[in-house]
Amino acid sequence: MNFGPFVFIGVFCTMIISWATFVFGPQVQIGGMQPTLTVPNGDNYPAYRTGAEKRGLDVYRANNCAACHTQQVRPAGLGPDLMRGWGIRQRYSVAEDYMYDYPVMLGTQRVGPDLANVGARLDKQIILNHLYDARDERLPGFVRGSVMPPYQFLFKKQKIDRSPSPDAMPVAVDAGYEVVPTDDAKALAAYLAGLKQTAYIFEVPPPPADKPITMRPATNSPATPTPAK
Amino acid sequence: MSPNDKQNLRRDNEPTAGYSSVPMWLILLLGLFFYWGMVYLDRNAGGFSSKVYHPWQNFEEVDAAQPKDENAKLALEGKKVFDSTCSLCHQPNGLGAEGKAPPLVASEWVLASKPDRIVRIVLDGFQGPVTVKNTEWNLAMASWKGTFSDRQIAAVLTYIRNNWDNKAPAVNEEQVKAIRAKEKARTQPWTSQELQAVPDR
Repeated sequence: MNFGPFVFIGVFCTMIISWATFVFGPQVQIGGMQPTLTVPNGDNYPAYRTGAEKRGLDVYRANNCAACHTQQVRPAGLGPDLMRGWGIRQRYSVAEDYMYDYPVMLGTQRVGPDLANVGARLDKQIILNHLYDARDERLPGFVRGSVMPPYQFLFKKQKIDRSPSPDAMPVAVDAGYEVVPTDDAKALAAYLAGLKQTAYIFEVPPPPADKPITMRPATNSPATPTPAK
Repeated sequence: MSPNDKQNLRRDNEPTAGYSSVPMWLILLLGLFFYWGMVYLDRNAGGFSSKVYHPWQNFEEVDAAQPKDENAKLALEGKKVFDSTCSLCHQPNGLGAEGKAPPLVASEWVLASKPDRIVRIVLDGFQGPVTVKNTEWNLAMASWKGTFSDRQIAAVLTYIRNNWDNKAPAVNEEQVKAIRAKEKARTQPWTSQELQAVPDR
């Protein structure tokens, strides 16, 4: 007996169902997404990423940061993200947060902490220190036992020309030399420092006044810069 | 091969392909699962709205969770009017600009307890010398009577009275409506002297 037509119809239906649910459905749902206004201040949201931040996204992508870091804070009830302090002021991630990103670096695995709000937790220098060597206890903001590999190829050692460079890293190298971040490292730090999902919008209204926002320090991440030894 | 196996081979028929119907209980079970899935989607999918995220069940709930403040809502509408029109001269930061418009921030005209004067200014415009924050200005402002509705004027005034560091009572639509009716016959912009005669507190 010839099963060709049955197989064809089966495969066709499978393809159509997955296309409808993974491509067409989302397109209908959020394909026409527009910038929105914050609640209650009415500022424009989201903001465009700057040139350096956009370049940083490419560096982030090129170094496969998304293999270990996610950029999505799930709502309460779908995971412990808010309890871990990753959502600043109980703010979970919504589609608008990623509007101007291409590609969206959501990530799937959480070897390291979620980075959706890393810019609200760490400043640029701490991020650079972390990229240089996350475990170095002499660098402010180190994380003891961090499994993050050092990204020292994003930095370069150069001879000090007359006076030290203003963005020299606080690391000890040979006399007369200094370690400075390359443009890639600076762009990546700018991108990470710009990752902030802190504004309330319609989909995430601010919690009511009788339910005060409880702030928890983010776990598995240097919430407050550790002083250098 | 043992004699027993030989016997078995001989006894068994050749295998053939055939059909047997799916048992009824399996169809019912699948139907039940499908029904449960649909009920689950109906309860938890938020109507497939892109505005509804997990803790919320439907759009109405999210809408109800928005901060409730009529004046804040009015001010938000006013922001749109301000950004598209007023900010060209009064500047987005409300500080005004030399040769364009006097400041709105901390201006005694804006912060007067009764908005009667500023409503008139927006409706019919303004011209001639005026003192704002101890500084003399001599410029002209257009009339917005025909451009904006009562609600829009109330909204933009509420916005400028409560934005930046300003803090003054909101302006409502009825106040603007009353003043518009009262000054219906007016065709000329207001001057500082004329407005001084209008009580603002």
